[in-house]
Amino acid sequence: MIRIENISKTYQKGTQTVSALREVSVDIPAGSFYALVGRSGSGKSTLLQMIGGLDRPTGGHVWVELPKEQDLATLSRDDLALYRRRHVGFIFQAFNLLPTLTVLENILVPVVPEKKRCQEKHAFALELLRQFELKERAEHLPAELSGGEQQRVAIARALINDPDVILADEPTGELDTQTAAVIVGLLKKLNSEGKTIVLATHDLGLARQAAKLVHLEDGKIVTPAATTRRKDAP
Amino acid sequence: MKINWINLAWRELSRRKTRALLSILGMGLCVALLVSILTISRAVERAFQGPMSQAGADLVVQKPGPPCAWQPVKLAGSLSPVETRVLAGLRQDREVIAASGSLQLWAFPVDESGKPNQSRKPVVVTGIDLDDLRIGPVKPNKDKGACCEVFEGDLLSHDTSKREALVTREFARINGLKVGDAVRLWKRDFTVTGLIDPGKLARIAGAEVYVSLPQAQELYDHGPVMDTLYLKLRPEADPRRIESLLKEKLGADLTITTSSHLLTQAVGFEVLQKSVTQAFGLVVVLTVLLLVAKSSAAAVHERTREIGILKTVGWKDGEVRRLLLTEHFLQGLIAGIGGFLLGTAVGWIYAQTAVIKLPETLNKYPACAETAAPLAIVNVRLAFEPDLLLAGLALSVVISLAAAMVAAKKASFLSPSEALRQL
Repeated sequence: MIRIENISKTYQKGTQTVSALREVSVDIPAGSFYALVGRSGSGKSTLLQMIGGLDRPTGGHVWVELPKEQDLATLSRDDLALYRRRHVGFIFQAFNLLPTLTVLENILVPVVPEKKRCQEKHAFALELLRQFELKERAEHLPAELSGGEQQRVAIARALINDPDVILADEPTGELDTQTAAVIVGLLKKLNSEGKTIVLATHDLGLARQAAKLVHLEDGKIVTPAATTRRKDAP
Repeated sequence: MKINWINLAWRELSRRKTRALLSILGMGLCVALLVSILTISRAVERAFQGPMSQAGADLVVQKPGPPCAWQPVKLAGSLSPVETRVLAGLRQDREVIAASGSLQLWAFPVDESGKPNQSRKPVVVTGIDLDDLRIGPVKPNKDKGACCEVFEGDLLSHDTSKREALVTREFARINGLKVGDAVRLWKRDFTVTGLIDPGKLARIAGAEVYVSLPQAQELYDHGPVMDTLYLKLRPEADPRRIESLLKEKLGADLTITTSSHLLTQAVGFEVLQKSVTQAFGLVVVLTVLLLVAKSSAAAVHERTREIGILKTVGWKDGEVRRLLLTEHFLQGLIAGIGGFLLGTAVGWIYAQTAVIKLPETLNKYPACAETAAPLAIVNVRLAFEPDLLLAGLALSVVISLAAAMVAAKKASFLSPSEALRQL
C-alpha cells in the first residue's frame, strides 16, 4: 500500500513560486493498476516522482510499506536510494538507457553497486531478455534498437530487482500504436503477476487500461472521490 | 563482458575520447616533465660519481694559487703546492681509510741551453704515489698486481730512483712510442714501462705521462710537494670535521671536492634539481590540476542525464562519486604510465647526446698540448627508476582524483528529479 497524504510540492522558478502539487491525497493498494491523468503541467509526473522517492514533497507524507510503513520524507538520501533500487522500477517516455552500455548491461545497471547481487542477477537478466524477446539483442547498444525494443529493455531494467511498484511516466509517448499496445500488454501482465503499477499519461485511451484513474489539474485531484473506477475493472 | 565499476568507467572514458585524451595528455606531460628532469639529474649525479670513483676518493683537495711565471716545468693551472708531510698526519686520523697525493705538471720542451723549444709541444705529467694506489689518478689491478689500465707493459716499479714512465695510448701513438722507448721530459729521459688506456672516462689529475711522485717532485724541483690530495673516508666519517681539519692544516682557501660539489661546480645541476625543479614542478602540477578540474566539471555537466538515470535506478551518492573517481583513477593511471615512459625517453635522448665536463681546476691541460684533457663525462647512463615510476603514477592519480573531487561531489548531490528535468 502506498498512502499519499496531503502532499504539496512547490518549485522556485526565478522569483516565482510554482505549485506543482497542492495537498494531494490518494491511497494506492498493493497490486493495483493506477493511472494518473492530466494535461501537461498538471502535476502527474511530479506525483510519480514523489511516490518513487526521486524528490521530496514540500509538505505532507508519502507512506510506503518497507515492510513496516514509513514516510519517504523521513528517509536519508542513501535509504531513499535503496528504496528506489529495491522497491521501485521506473519506466520513462525517453527510455533513459545508458548509450555506452549494451542491452544486457543496461538491465544490470541498478545492481552494479552490489557486486554479489550483480552476479546473482545475471541469469535473471538473461531470463528477462528471453521473456521480452530481446535475447538476440543482448550485446547490442541502445542506438541499434527500435523504440519498442528500447522500452522493453527499460522495463526489463525496472524489473531486475523484482520491485513491488512499477512507475511509468508516459511509457508509450514515443511509440507507434502497435508497439504501444505491446508495452501496455506487458504492464498489464506485470500487474496480473502482483506488481503495483502507477502510470502517468495524458492519453485517456491508454489510461483506460488501468483499473483506476486519478485526474489531476493544476496540481490537484479534480474528481471528488479522488479516484475513478473503471466499470470493467476487476 | 560482465559489468563492473572498471568497465563502466572505461566505457565512459572511451565515449568521451577527446576530453579524456586531453586530460591524460595534460597529466602525462606533467609527469613526463618531472620524470625527465629527475631521471636526467640522477643520471648526471651518477655520472659525476665516476671521476671520484675512478680516483677512489671521497674528497679531493686542492689549494688554488695565483698563476705563476713561466718555468720549463710548472704546476698545472693555478694551484699552489702542498707539502707531502700532511699526508702522514691525515693517514693517522681515525675517520680516514686512505690518503694519497699527486703532482700534475706541465713540462715544456727546452733545447740543450734551457731555452724554450717552440717546435715541440708541452707534456702533461702527473706524479703518482706508488705507496698507495688504491686512490689517485691511476688505480691498480688487484688480480694482476698491476694497473688495470696498463694494456701493454708494466706499472712503474717501486724503485722511485728509476726514471720510468707510463704513457697514454693516444700520446704514444702521436709520438710513436713503444714500451722500452724513452720519453723526454724537460732535459730528462724516462723509460716507457707501459702503455695505459684511460678510455673515455673523465679523470682527476689525468696526464699524458705518469711518473712516480718523487720523480715528478724532482722535475718540479720544489721539494716534497703535491698539488692534489685524495682522501678515502670511513662510511661513518663526518666530512665537515675532516674539512675543518684540512683547512686548519692547509689554510682556509682550499677547494674541497666531493661528487655533489662536482655537480654544482660543473653545471649547477644540483641547483636545478633542488630548487628550480621544485618550484617549476609545483607550477606545472597546479596548472594541470586546474585544467583537469575544469575538464571534469564540464564532463559532469554534460553527463547530468546519465547521473540522473543512475540515481533514479537506486545508486547512492557515494556510488555515483565512486564511479566518477574510478574514471579519474584510470585516467591518472594511464597518464602516469605514459608520462613515465615519455619522461624516460626524453632522459634517454639526453643521455645519448650529453657531454658534461669536469671543472678545469681538477685537470688542467695547456692549450697547446698534443692531446685533450680527459674532462668530458660521456657515460651519462639512465637506470630504471622504480621509485620515479611509483611517484609518477601517484602524482598523476592524485592530480586526477583531486581534480575530480569537486565535480564528483557535485554529481553525487545532484537530485535525480532535477537531473531528469534536464533530459
